[in-house]
Amino acid sequence: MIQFVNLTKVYKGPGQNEVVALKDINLTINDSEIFGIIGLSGAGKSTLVRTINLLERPDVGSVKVNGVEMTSLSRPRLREERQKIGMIFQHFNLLASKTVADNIAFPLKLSGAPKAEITKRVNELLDLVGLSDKAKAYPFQLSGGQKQRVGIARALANNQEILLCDEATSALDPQTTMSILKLLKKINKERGITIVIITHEMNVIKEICDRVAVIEEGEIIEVGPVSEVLLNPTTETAKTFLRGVVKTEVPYEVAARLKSQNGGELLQVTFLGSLAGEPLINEMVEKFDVVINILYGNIDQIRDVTFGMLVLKLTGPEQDKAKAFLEEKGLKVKVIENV
Amino acid sequence: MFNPTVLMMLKDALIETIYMVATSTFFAVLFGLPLGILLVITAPDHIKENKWLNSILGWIVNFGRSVPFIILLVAIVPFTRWLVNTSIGTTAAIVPLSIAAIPFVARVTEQSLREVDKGVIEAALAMGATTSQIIFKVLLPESLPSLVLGITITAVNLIGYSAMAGAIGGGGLGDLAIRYGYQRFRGDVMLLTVIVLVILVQVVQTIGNLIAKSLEHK
Ligand SMILES: Nc1ncnc2c1ncn2[C@@H]1O[C@H](COP(=O)(O)OP(=O)(O)OP(=O)(O)O)[C@@H](O)[C@H]1O
Ligand SMILES: [Mg+2]
Repeated sequence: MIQFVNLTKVYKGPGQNEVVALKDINLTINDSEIFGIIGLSGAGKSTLVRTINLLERPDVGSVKVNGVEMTSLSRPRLREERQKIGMIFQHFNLLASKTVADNIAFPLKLSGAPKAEITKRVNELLDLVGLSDKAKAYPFQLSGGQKQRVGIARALANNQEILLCDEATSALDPQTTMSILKLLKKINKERGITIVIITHEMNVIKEICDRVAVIEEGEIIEVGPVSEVLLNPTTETAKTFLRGVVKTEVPYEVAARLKSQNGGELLQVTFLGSLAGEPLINEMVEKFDVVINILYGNIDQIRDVTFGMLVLKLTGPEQDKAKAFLEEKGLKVKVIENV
Repeated sequence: MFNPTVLMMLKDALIETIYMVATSTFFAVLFGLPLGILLVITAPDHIKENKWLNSILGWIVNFGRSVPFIILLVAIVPFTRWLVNTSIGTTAAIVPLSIAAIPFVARVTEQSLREVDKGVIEAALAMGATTSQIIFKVLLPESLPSLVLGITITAVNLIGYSAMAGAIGGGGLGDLAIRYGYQRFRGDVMLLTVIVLVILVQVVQTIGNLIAKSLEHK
């Protein structure tokens, strides 16, 4: 478990300039979850994640990793704790002078593991990340995706319980990004490792995170399960990120077409989770004296949550009752406009 | 001009030069390398940031680099005499040559180590590396090709300086060129000496380049 309590970090810029990179952060990241941190450039994402292994020392507040207060550790104890936390980076940060195998062996050598054990462990890790045939290659001979795989293997060498990822897929193309995310997910499932992912790509969050925090100007403005935050963003920043990831808006062309039709009430109905599987619309039509016309629809999946949106035209004497019925069943109903 | 005596003299002088250059390069690296490492790690935002130590070291190195070699040569005669019990001859020449090259090696080292990606150092820190592990397992191995080239340049410079040291009785090719070529008007000896010096420089540089290349994984 990673706990931030009242965490504040201020950078002293040139002259009297001060940048408040983190402002009174309170956050708990649970064991074995994949936790996403999203925010615009300069929001403080890297600073936040770097306080976990104390690459950045907070000015105020506490960071506890599995109950250990990181800010009050002696240097040798801090190094010990750091060995339990793996980290991967946007630019991979591999040692150019060492082979893939030696890069993976590096943290084991630092902690003085016996040679035989190192060899065995390196082979296991190479296998895990699918690079057994590249053991003797140098980083310059690898693609970006392969380099990140080496980074991941290296970050897991000491059987770390936590993996920090600072923009780990930002330098990769979409396809490679997906394969790296899959690998991370697999590692999370198989080993129960806690993964903290920083990104500015909502797709990464949508793909593998369990929970997400939205950070803006050093403050956490939203936090919760991914499906919740994605589907009900309450802040502008979150909404901005979501545009294009989750389609809950009626496309312009559709809206224009709808305007030209008259009569009835235009509704946007959003449904979530298990509701997506229930024949609610059908039930409504059977129960009430209404006619519906489905004009637009979209169904998507975030993690294991299915969600969807329909634009309906509702006409008939029991319009209002039907609408109330849907709301009662837990659907979100929004009147687009009375045409 | 290719008579056996001249060739004999050339051979002896060449060996003396190689001895002077090799030994002084060794001592220059022995003292210059740690100095360069200190310069790097005490720099702002590096692993052992220390403003005071950094500026003092920087000042010392600059001072050493700004003293003209010929003046250093004479100025440290008492020190040389104290250290090696003589102020003339090849062994005595090694003292000023080493001292002149120490600050140079320090700067060359500094430059090489500074090229090591900050991200790689950070990755090592995140793995719990100690300062000495970062120096010996990250900074030095990562900058080895560049260090080899820097040391090669130091050796090449020392070949030139050793000729100057030869002028005040240090032996070697420079000494030969001055005593025979210049003072006894033996143009042929002068020419031969220069040719040997040119070849020596080429050989040293080529070997350095080859080693650096073989170490580089880019
Ligand atoms: N070493 C530093 N010195 C001074 N200011 C810094 C330093 N590091 C970060 N900052 C400032 O702190 C703020 C937060 O930076 P941070 O790197 O955490 O942002 P980020 O969310 O990771 O951004 P990006 O997406 O661009 O990586 C920024 O305003 C940045 O300019
Ligand atoms: Mg960042």
